[in-house]
Formats: sequence, C-alpha cells, structure tokens
Amino acid sequence: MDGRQIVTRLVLAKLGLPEVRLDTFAERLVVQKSIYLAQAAGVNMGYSFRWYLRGPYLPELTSDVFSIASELKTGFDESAGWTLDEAALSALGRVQGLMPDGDLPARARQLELLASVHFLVNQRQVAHAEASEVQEVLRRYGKDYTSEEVAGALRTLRQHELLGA
Amino acid sequence: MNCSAPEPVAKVVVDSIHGDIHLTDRECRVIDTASFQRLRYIKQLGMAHFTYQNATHTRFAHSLGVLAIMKKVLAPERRRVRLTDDQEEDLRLAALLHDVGHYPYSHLMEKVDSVRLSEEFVEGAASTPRIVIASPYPSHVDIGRLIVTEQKDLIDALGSRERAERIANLFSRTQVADQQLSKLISSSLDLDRFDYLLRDARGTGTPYGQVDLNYLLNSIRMSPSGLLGVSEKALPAAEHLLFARYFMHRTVYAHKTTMAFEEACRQLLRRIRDAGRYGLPKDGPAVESLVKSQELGDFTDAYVDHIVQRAINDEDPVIAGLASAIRRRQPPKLLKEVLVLQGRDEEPPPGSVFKLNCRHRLRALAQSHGFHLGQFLLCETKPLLLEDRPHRITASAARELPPEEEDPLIKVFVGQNEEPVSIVDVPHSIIGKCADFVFQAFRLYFVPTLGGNEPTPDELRCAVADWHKSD
Repeated sequence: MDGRQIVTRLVLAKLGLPEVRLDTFAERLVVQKSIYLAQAAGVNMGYSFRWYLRGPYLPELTSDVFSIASELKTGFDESAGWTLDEAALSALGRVQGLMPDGDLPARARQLELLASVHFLVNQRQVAHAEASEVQEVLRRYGKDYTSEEVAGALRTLRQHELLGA
Repeated sequence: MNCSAPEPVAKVVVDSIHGDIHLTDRECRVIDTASFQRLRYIKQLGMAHFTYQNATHTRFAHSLGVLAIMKKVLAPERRRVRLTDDQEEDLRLAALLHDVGHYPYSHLMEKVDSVRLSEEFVEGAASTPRIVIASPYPSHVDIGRLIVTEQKDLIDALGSRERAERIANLFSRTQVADQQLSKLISSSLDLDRFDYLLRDARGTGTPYGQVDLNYLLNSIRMSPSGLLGVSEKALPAAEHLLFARYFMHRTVYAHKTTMAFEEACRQLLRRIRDAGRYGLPKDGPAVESLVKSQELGDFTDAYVDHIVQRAINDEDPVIAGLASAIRRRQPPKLLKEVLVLQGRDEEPPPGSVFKLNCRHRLRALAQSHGFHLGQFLLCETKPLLLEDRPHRITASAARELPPEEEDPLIKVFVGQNEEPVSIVDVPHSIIGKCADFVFQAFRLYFVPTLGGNEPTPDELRCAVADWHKSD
C-alpha cells in the first residue's frame, strides 16, 4: 500500500468496511460513495471524482481498493500501526452518522443518492440547492428518486455539515 | 450541425510532432498568460532526462500538442459530433488547459503523499504511533481547476468566470451535461494519450510510443447513445495504441534509473515537508493557497531544484544524502528488482513476498552496516495492464462492467452495430486475450552517504539476493 492507500484503508475500516469487499458492483459502489462522502467531510485522500450515470465515481479508486484487498489477502496489512489524526477522525464521525443501514442494495442506493446530491450541489452543477432541481438532473440519468428522498438527502447532508445551510 | 466559417487564425506555431498549429486569438490570449507560460518550465517526463538526455520537452509543448489533436478531431471532415461554436471552442480550450495544474516535475511532486519511507514501513522501526494527516497535496486536475477558475489572467483570457468554470468542468470531467465531450480529453481514447506517447517517444528516442494518430482520428465515431469509439477497421491501430502505452511504461516511465531519481526526490521532499523546512507547502490547503497567489509563476521545476540545492547542506544526513545524489546525478544503487507479470489468480502475488522480506529483514541489514533506514528506498510501479480497468477484474468480468467501470475502456464499432463494444469484448482482438495479466516492478535502492565507509553495492546485493523467496 502506498500512503494514499493506507489512508483509504483506514477510512474504510472506520466507516464499517474493514473487509473491503469488491466482488460485486454494488459492493464497489458502496466503497466509492463512502470514500466520496469521507472526502466531502474533509478527509481528503486526493481522489478527483468524475460524474457518471451513478453519480460521482472514479475508476482509479477502484484500482486502489483492489490493490488494498489484494494485499490484505496475503495477510500483510501495511496500514497496521497507522492511525488517522484527530481532525480526520472527527470528520469521519460525521460521515458515520449518515451511513445507511439495511441490505447491500438499499445501502448502495442511499449512498448513491447522498453522494450524487452532494456532488451536484458542491460542484455547482445545479443553480440552486433545491430538491426539485436536483431531482430533475437525477431523472435525466434515469434515477427514480422521489422528491422526498432528494429533500431528505439534502437535509441529511446539511445536518451532518457536509453541505452549508 | 455547425456550418459557420472557421475562426480566423491569429498565429501559427510549429510543433515537432504535429507541424503547424493554427491558433485563434482566444487561444493566443490564453497561451500568453503567466499562468499558462509556467508550463514552459515544467518538464513533461519529470526526471527522465537523467536517463534520456533529450527528454526535456515540457508540459507547454504537450498542451499545445493536445490542442493540435483536438483541432484535427474537430476539423469539419472528421467531425462526427454535433457541436455548437461555443462547445467547440470550449473543447479546444479544455484541451489546451488540461495540464495547467501540474506540479514541478509533473507527477513527481504530486505524489509526495504516496511515499513509503523505510522507517515507516519496516517492522518494529517506529517507536511511536504513526499518524496520518489527511490533507494531502491535491491532484494536478484539482489544482488545474483552481488555477483556471481563480487566476485572474486566465479568467480574463477566457472571457468570463462562467466560461472558466465550464472549461474546468470539461477537463476535470465534473460536468454533468455533455459527458461525452470531456471523454475526448480524458479516457482510454483520449487525446492527451495520443500526444504524450508520440512526444515522449520522440523526446526519449525510443520507438515504442509511435501510434497511428491520423488513422485513429479518422476512425472516431459517436454512437446514437453518445458513446465514442473507433470503427472496426481501426482495431489494429487501437490495439497498437494500447501496446505502445504498455511498452512506454515498461521502458520509459518505469525505467529503473529514472525511478531511482524520482523516488529519491519524492522522499527528499516528503522529509523536508514533514520537517517544515525550506518553505515547502505543508499540506493540501497550503498548495491551494500557493497556486491561487501570484507565486504560481515560480512553482516550476526550478522551485524543486532550488530546494534540492539548499538541502545538500542539511543537518539531517538522509536529507543531505538524497539531495546530493540528485544534484550530482549519482543514482541510488539498485539492490534488487522483482519483475512480476502476474495472472489474476496467482496467489500470493510474488511482489508481496519481496515486500514482506523487506519489512522483516531490512532493519537488521541496516543495523549490521550502521546505516540509517532512510538510505533504503523501497518502491513499486503502479500495476500495469494493457487496458485500463480495475486490475484483478478479468477480461470476461469486464464484459459485465457498468458504465462507471467500463468507461476507460476503448470502444470499437463492430460490424453494422450502431453501439460500440469494449475492445476486450471483441472476439478477434488480442487485447481481450492478454488483458488478464498485470505487470509490476518492485525495487529496493540504496543511497550512499557522502564519504561514508560503506560496503559496495554488490555486497548489499548479495545480502538481499534471495528476498523474493519465501522462507
């Protein structure tokens, strides 16, 4: 693991993903959105996310996480002995508060919504941070999130200080 | 379809790869900004000139080269995409500005946070808990975005802040609308790659990066759903592009001597930064402040050269030794190299055995000779595949990938199909057959101290000769 992969590994473990499962796309999606939200909270790992059909995503991150998982399989964990600083731990505390429960598809769907809404607002891809406008963009990408779900995501992101009031 | 007359040419510049490049007034104004001129002083290939003495070409030349290719793609006879005048100009400007955020020595300084210092890596070497400070240097793409949207000279040259945002969205691929346009800047079929392979091959004098540029450009099409790909007749040219990239990585980008200097410099910068010396930005926010300020113009290769020069006399012998090795062009000595071409299911990955042995045995080796652990540089190349997709996904699994993960793959229009398929999915392509293999190099270097009474590299090489084997 290089330095960035060590941070990524520590962040994933802190967010309840210590085993780094990557077998299905839904598992990889959960990893992607979790790291996206951690960065949004201020734990910058240097990943520059792009916009895709399923919201912010970065193939390079998937490669990094495969490397991490591959190394863990050998029983060699380079992140052992490392810990995140207080600021990062505090930021991740806020992300932990919005990590959804439920089965894998439900968690993937909710994380996709949270990350997508954050990206659209934060990257100024919508003129106003309003549920109707965000929902319209998501609908263009075939997403069937209801206006209540989008409004709820905006509210959650603000409550956890990932978006300004 | 846009049928308006082409913009008048304000200037013609001559490029060693593409010949005449016709520039519009707007392009000239962007090029003439101090923010863009900075790229004249950043070498495209980091410290590769220590290995290939002519590899001194710059990000400036490369950026103009990518603009030249974009102009070819947008030329009326080649245009397969319906674009407005504004979209066309945005694409040209995004091509021109896509690398404006590069750090000194390109990727070298950008990756300071990825450095693995031996005393952090080796078992039992750290006596206190090691803490990661999660505010690394931003990527050059993020820095480029900041420069384009915050530096006044560029905003003025582009015409407005809104346009600056649009351009930044294009090259950083954060634009929600018109995603396909930005793929021309960055994807497997990107114009950036076309230029850097050709230019780096020319600069280094190696033949591997030669690609059939015009044939590929002539074959680019967009599907009804908006996917970019090449026609089937260009399949060999697309395969060759991927092999060219593979061989350029093997021979140039991961060259053992270049890697030695770059790793030494990266470790030097990391140590200097951690020690808070010589004014190096302490973290990501400090870099962001720098590139938004008037000091941006000084953030060039010379910025690092100056630090290296000052560090030669540093009180820390490891810092002084690294700086001296770079300044005097005395490459760190390669003690052991493990080259791995690994199939997906080979366990354990052979490089891991070498790393584990370094972790367990390097401390004793250093102690037995009275060395500082920092004199040993352990590094590895990024996993290299023929085709860009998350490594350890098989070619067959790649056929099931969702768009997010399939995106970087080159697409090919097979037969009369209106929609293209990924190149790994073309039954008669060699790429699918070879795409399950990952190449990676693991290397251990040693940096001698000045005037030290040290064993010869051969003695150290004997000591680590069997470190690729399990006990």
